[in-house]
Amino acid sequence: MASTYRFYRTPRLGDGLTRQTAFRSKLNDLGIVRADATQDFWSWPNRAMAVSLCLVWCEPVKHVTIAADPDISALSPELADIAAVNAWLDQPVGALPAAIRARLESDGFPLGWVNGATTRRQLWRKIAQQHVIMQRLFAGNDNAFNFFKRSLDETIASVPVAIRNRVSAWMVERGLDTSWITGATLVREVVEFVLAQVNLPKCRLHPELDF
Amino acid sequence: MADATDDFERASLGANWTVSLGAVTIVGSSDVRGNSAGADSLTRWNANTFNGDHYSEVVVTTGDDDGGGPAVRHQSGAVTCYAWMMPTTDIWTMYEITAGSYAVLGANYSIAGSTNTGTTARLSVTGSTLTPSIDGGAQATRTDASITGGGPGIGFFATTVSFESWLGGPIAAAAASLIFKSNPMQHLLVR
Repeated sequence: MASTYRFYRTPRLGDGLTRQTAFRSKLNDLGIVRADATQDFWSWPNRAMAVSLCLVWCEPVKHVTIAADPDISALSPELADIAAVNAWLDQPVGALPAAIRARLESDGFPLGWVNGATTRRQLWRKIAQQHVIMQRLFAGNDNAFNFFKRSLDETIASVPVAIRNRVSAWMVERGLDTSWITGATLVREVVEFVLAQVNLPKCRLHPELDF
Repeated sequence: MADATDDFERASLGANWTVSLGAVTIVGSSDVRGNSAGADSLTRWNANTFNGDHYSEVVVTTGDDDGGGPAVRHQSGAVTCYAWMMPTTDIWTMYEITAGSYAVLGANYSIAGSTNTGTTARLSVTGSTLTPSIDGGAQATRTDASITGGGPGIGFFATTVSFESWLGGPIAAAAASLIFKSNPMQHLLVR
């Protein structure tokens, strides 16, 4: 049976402190898919959120095994090849299943901006940009990184002052207006604003997939 | 710049390598290995300056469950690089290491015989694409854009794996297409 592609949301395991406890997708530990001529998966190692978004290429029977894991959510149907993946991405999100929406929001991805006309690629682009921002902040040992670890429904007033001061300065450094933010503003509003304003280069999850 | 090479045929690691994590040593006046029991080690070739697109290649003397492998974009003065290393026999993992924090990029690789003596393991990086290979056979790529610059190096898990030689160098850019267009309006505008 030919291998097919499918997107998944998996737990991100590890603390990153050693290579044995590296940040990784739960898929690495399951050992169902290892890179060879018939299977592989690509994942973003997210250091701020306990989630890993993955594109898996494997035989359908293995997709069944992966999807049966209670910690893993399938985010797409099985897609025959990269052309089909790209075609699927360019279609509207439509009615995002409530369980998927709730899961991604609890992971820290604000989805309030998504409407029926939003394409899946646009959704993945926002998620990719959020991921890239967090990667860069972590690499720069920037305390603004910790802002993206907060719950989306937390108010700015409840964010520790050192973190909110730093994220405010970080936004100003990028020319973003912060005058509208008050103590009652939600973290999700700030994250959505940042993602709407920044314009990062395209990000790749797979060598042939641009977001 | 030209490729750099090291056969480790001497008593000590020498000044061309900067150890950024753990300890690295020469064994038997012929091979290089980590020298931190139960811990990781990283070293970076410092004798040349590389652009961001380069490769690092090692030849395995002793493969082991606590292995190691080539590293690229190893930053000066930091435990930051990409490393393709064998955590167990015939299994390889792509690590993105930032300030000593490890993350795994994608699936582990299962490659039969790949940790045997004499195996050549290479990791190349071009732009945001990481391409590992075993004995010249390219493996599945990974993409990541979080580490830029740096240079080639070697990583080790514990003290058991050793490598008999190392090679590193730039990845030749595709021939630049330089097209000089003459714009008549430009001449008017600059007057």
